[in-house]
Amino acid sequence: MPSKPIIAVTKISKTYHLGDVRVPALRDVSVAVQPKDFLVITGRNGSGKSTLLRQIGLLDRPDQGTITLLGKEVTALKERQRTQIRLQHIGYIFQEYALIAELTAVENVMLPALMQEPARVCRPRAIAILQKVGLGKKLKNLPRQLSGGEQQKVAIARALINDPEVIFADEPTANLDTVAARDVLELFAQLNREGHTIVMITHEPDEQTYANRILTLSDGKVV
Amino acid sequence: MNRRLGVPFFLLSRNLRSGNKWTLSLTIFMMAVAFINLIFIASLFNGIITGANRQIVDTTTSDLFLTPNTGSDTFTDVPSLLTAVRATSGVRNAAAEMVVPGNLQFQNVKGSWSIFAITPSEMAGSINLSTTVASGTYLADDDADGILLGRQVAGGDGVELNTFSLKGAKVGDQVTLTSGAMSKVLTVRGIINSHFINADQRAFISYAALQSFMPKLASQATMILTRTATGSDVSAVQAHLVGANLNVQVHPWNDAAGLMKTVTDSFVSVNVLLSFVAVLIAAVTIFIVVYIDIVNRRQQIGILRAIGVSPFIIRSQYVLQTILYAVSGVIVGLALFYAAIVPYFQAHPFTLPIGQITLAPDAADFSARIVSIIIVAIVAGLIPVTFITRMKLLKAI
Repeated sequence: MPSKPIIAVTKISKTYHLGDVRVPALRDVSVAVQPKDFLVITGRNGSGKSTLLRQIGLLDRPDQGTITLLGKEVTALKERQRTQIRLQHIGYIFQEYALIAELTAVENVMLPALMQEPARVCRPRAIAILQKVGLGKKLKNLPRQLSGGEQQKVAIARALINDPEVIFADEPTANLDTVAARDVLELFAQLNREGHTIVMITHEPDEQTYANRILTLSDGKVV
Repeated sequence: MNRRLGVPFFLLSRNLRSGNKWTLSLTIFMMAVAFINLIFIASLFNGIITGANRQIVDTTTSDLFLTPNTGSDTFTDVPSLLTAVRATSGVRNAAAEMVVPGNLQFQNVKGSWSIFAITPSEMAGSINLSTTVASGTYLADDDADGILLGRQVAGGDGVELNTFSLKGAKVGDQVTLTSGAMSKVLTVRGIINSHFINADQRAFISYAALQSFMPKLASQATMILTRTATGSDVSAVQAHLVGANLNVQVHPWNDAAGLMKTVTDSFVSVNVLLSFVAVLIAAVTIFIVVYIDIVNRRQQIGILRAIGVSPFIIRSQYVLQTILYAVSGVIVGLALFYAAIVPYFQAHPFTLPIGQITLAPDAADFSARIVSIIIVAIVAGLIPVTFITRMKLLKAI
């Protein structure tokens, strides 16, 4: 018997307005993500992959349709409630790493946890996660002192610090070389084995092999 | 909530640690300049107002002055009146002055000025006449042939009112005092320069001279100048004098301020207006500094929001930052003001018709301005950061 979906997207649509031009990015998209899924979203440029991920990741709101996350309808929640859900239940990994330039690796990782716990609790946990992703010797490095792959690992560690139920990753390997990309994907696979639900966007066909489900979008629709 | 409040401090401290130190220094310096702009004009106007008031007291009226009651132009029993006034609680000194009706002539220049008979040693205790003698000597009580001329009466090159003066009378020159059919030749003993044009348009002779010239007037006085004891409340001393039933009118010094009061009142109004403009300049400066900083960090603010840092925490960080800028600017501004600007203007005062004016910082006024600049900083900082934190998240990122 299938378990209750951790994410349920029902007929969402999103249209961007570029001046007077309307650009439909998503059209009646529906998808359900089960706990412990490793879902890969794929499709050509402009197919709506990132738009879909931003709606599910609560970075944007759809024009129509509903999104249920962890059994709670989140589409119409106030921004303050959505911020709280992003903090406690979602880990979001950006293509461009999105680290805070002034914070060291360990400070970047512990920042979301500081919103809930004191530094003396957050710091050891951040250090442990950075050690787990192989950056135990670069705790005090600023982002500019890290390679692209290392920065993405810091971003992954930051996404994990509050032990979220689901991790969203928007083309996390797009700016990495082959070796670094494989490291990151292996890390996602390990996290998935440990019970994390992962939703990842990728262009690369061989990266799709890490997924247990693949969702392909074309012109804003599920193919 | 309490734990979350540590996050703005955490973010701000890292921002300061990794930020450009020159940019930070320049920002604080700009704040300091904005603050100095706020306090300099206020101190200058305060200096003008304080200076003008001090000159009136020190050169013309003393703290309190007594005039005869209505119906009489002069006091007649001057010695007993002076004794009674000096015996009043809070009075340090009292001295009589008598208006001498007459004209002065030097060579072929003749004119009319305010001429007063005084007891020089007594008057020195009520106003600073003896200490403003710029050349020559002060009068002696028994000097029946000498006269002190104000700088504007004596005239000479560079004197502001030379056209209406004796055009260059000097110490040792002889001038003729004429009143009706009587005249007396007097020797200029000294030239008074108080730097206060009103006070320097007067001449003084001793009561001894008046006795030899117009003996009927020598026992009278038109005004008693009363200096209060150091630290005493002038209003309380005035009340004591009124209560002493001396049959006189007791006036505070500012009753004689006249035109100067109009001028100082105008300065107060101008000061309020310029202070408002200075606060506005400070607000715009802070707004620009914070706005540029925040625009440069728009993406970072977007990232913070995306990972779950609430807009309240982000706004708190920037409020703390603007408070830091403002407080640092105030400290640097005060240090520069007291260490460099005030000493400079004490050494090089402004020369105005009311005297030499220096800056007069007012601690209470400064406190209000410090509070106002910090409030302005908070508001000017909050506006741009609120704008960014309300922006659509994706647009910020």
